[in-house]
Amino acid sequence: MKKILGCTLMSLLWATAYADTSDQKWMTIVEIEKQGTHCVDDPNCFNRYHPEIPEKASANLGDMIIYHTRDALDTGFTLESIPADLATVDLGLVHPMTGPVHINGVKRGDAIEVEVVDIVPDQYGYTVIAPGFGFLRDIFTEPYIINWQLTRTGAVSPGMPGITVPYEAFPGSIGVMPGMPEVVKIKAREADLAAVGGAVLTPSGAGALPADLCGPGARAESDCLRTIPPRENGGNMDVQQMQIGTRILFPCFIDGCGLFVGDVHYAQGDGEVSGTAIEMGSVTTLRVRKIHKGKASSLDMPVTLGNDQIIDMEPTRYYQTVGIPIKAKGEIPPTHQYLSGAPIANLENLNEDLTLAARHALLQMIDYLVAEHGLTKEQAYVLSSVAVDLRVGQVVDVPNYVVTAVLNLDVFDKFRHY
Amino acid sequence: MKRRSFLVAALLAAPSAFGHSPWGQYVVYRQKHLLIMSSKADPNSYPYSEVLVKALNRAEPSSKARPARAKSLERCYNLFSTNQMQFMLLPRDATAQMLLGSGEFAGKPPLSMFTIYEFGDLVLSVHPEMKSNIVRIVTHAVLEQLEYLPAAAKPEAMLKSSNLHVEAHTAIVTYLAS
Repeated sequence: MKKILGCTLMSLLWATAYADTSDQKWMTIVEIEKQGTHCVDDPNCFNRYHPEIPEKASANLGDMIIYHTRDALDTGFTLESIPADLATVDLGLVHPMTGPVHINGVKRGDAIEVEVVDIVPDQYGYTVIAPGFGFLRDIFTEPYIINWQLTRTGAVSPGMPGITVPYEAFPGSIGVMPGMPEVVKIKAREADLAAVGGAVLTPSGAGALPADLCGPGARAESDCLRTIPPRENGGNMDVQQMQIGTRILFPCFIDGCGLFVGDVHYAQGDGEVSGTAIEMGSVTTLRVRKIHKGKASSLDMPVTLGNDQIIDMEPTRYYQTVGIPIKAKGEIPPTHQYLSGAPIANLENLNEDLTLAARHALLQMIDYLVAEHGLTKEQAYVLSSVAVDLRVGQVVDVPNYVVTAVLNLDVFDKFRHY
Repeated sequence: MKRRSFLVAALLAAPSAFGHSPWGQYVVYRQKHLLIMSSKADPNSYPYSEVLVKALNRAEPSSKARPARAKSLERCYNLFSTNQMQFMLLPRDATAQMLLGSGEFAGKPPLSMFTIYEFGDLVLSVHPEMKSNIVRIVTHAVLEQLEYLPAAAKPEAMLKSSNLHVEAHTAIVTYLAS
């Protein structure tokens, strides 16, 4: 009897070992790891765009490209960070990107279809109100920070009691390198805008990486584009629908395309109104699924292809405010302080103005969060940045176009089952 | 001493390079507040900067002083050397190393800066491009608040400091004579 039992146990153990699947591999992996504490320490990191930034690896169609990414501000913020830390952010370091990666077989003029395969979050993330930055920068003028504890079941914070923000990660910045003709075109149009008071950050060598190409005195210092604005090459698009499982089509402007990613967000509302989402480092896996030969010219900008990802992000219960383009007499919001901003000062109603309608909707949402849920104004602004979606209602009912602000009420623990 | 508006004077010193950038208002924030930069790497400088900020705001409310904590001494060096920050409260050793380009800062260009005041082991330094009248006002504010600033050096002792800003020196001499 003992012998039979022993044989049976041995058989079970053998079967268990044989049934293990971890040794079965089919992926070809290209991994771009982090080195050092910050971008400046890391040869795989850069924070400007230029066609001559060296590619750090090459990948074939279908390879799993694993990028280890840094937070948007390259800050060194921690779970104990405080508002006083914000004033010492070095603005020259925004945004650290990982890559670029050369995609074999791709030429300038082609397009690539990139799948977001996976995003593994760091354990820590942050959302800040940076003085002078963000949609309501005239109202929220003091630094503020929420430190988030992250798991894939939700983001929580001692600074946001009773709130759990669902995991809806996406790359805030993802793109390909511009070619030199694009750099020339972009620089010219942004310089024209800056000349009339537009909010443009022109090339600047301070903090620029790679320093030997883009830094102070380097030969391309004045051609290395800043990473703040999204452009034809993608970059800082901050489009939350670029979720895991979606594919993004990019036009390629250099041979090999130069695919990069960074500034990954744990979650963000449409609008990212405070200027930051839940910012985090990550391990993000991308895969080039198709190369569309000669198709770059058919893309003005990157395009996202998805399935039910957009449905999965929808709230199951919500509160929605409606905004129209009205304001106080004498007020010129910061978004309107360029070109002919002054003549609107004495108007209370602007014409067909989505920006002002969005501001109106958002201000009502903040008031609601303060009055009905007991948040401070700063908490309400931060929550709006990570969980409120600004949506266009209509662009026909002149003069009052409508933007709504939609809050996912599921973020409140009191509405969820635990 | 007749004080002019600290805020107006500070804004007059504002560089225009960021005027229309997305960071323009961020830069203005740094200019309309007297930011006292400390370092997270040092356990004493940030808590003391809070005490100092309270004292400065009591003596000179228009300074709108605020603490600003950098993650490391290297970040302090970078922000100060690029004139993104103008006031720094750091331990004597770190200040000396930055000034000389030695120790942790060996190989980096020596940092040009002057002392405004000392509080035990902590040194309040100012960027050399800071306007003279601002340095004078800040020094006066410190002197007015000495009773609230633990371990602050005696004014007479400060006059012996080899790196004392000339305007701080003038302010201290005036204070002692009054």
